[in-house]
Amino acid sequence: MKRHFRSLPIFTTYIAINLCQAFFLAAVYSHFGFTSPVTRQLYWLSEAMALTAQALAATEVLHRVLWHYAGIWALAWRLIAIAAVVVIAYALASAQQTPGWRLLIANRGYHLTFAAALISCLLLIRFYSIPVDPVYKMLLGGFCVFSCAVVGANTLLQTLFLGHFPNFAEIWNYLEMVVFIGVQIAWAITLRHRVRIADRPALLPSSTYGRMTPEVNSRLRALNDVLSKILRAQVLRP
Amino acid sequence: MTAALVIFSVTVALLLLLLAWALRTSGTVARGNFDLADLEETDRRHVTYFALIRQAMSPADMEFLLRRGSREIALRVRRERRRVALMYLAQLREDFQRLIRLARAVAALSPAVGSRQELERLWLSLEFSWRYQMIHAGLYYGLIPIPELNALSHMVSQLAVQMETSMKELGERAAAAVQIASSLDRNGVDLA
Repeated sequence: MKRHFRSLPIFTTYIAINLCQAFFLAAVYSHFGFTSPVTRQLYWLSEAMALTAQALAATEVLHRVLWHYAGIWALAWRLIAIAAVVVIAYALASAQQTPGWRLLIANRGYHLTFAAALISCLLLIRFYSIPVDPVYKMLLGGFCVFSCAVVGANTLLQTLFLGHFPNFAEIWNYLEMVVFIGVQIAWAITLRHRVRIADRPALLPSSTYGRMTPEVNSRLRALNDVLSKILRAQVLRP
Repeated sequence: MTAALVIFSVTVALLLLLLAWALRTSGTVARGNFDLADLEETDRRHVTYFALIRQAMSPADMEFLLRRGSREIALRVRRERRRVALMYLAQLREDFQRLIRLARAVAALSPAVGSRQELERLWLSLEFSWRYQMIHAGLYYGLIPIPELNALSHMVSQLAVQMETSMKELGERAAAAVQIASSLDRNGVDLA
């Protein structure tokens, strides 16, 4: 971890915040108990900080992957913004429908947004054949797996609670903890390896994209037209 | 509430599948390079063979075989022609994919990309893929009669000439731009 601190300072801070949150919550639970309203407030306060750090840390890793590819990084940003707007709108709408579960639903909405945006960026990276170091792959994969687990666990908690299932809280707690610890272990193992320093690709002049892309797209349209006419000929056939 | 559990479980499963697919290393990604030079190859574009395909699918030939030869031979020839048509279709897809690879490489190596053009290309790829599958299935199961392709011969011949020259030109241009950019980069000139 020590040698990654310089290249991934926000990620390192995120790990530190997670550890601090664990110690902080342990102190809060022992002082106020599990069910106290103060405990609940302090938990959500610390969770908001951890979630902000998580988003920043994931963005930092993504930026490390794409920093040589300025155009794709700009595209990834737009994709993240669109995914965020769509899912946040959904999370707000569903949180308003059930005020009692507002925070839990908002938390689920956040993790859903986060996972969807991150996976969209990974798909974009794959689409443009951009090489990703295995260390970064594991970090980004870990973020997504954890967020997906939280979405599943929060939904399960709501279902079990409303179904009067005994020990619903323990099931929720263990499910999240097992995935969280699993991801932390996977990260710890991965971070023992160095990140390979990739050669910086020589970027094309800005004008090349503007000149070539419309031409390529028009050729693609022409090829599409061939298929379209074959199909249309069949549709119009008596 | 069970409905919510099902919906979110499916969503999570879908996201995890997409994640696994996105993180799986493909051959191109593993190499981590953009072979623009590979795209400027001087081979004839497959689409230029359309005239030959049209000849092979001429209805006059089929009629002649049915009239003079046995029905069995005519059917065999039809099967062979269908096979040729399917091969041609696959090669057409290869032409399409080569263009797509070129466009992706240019986008990846550009300091700024237009989301409209990228979205348009994504949409064109989806359209092509859908139409290709439809026609492939139609030809394979004999739902699309082969002579129908004849109607396209004129249009495709025109396209063939354009494709032949433009692919070569585009590939050469992209490779030359990369070469210039690399030499400028080595001299410390910032292109972005």
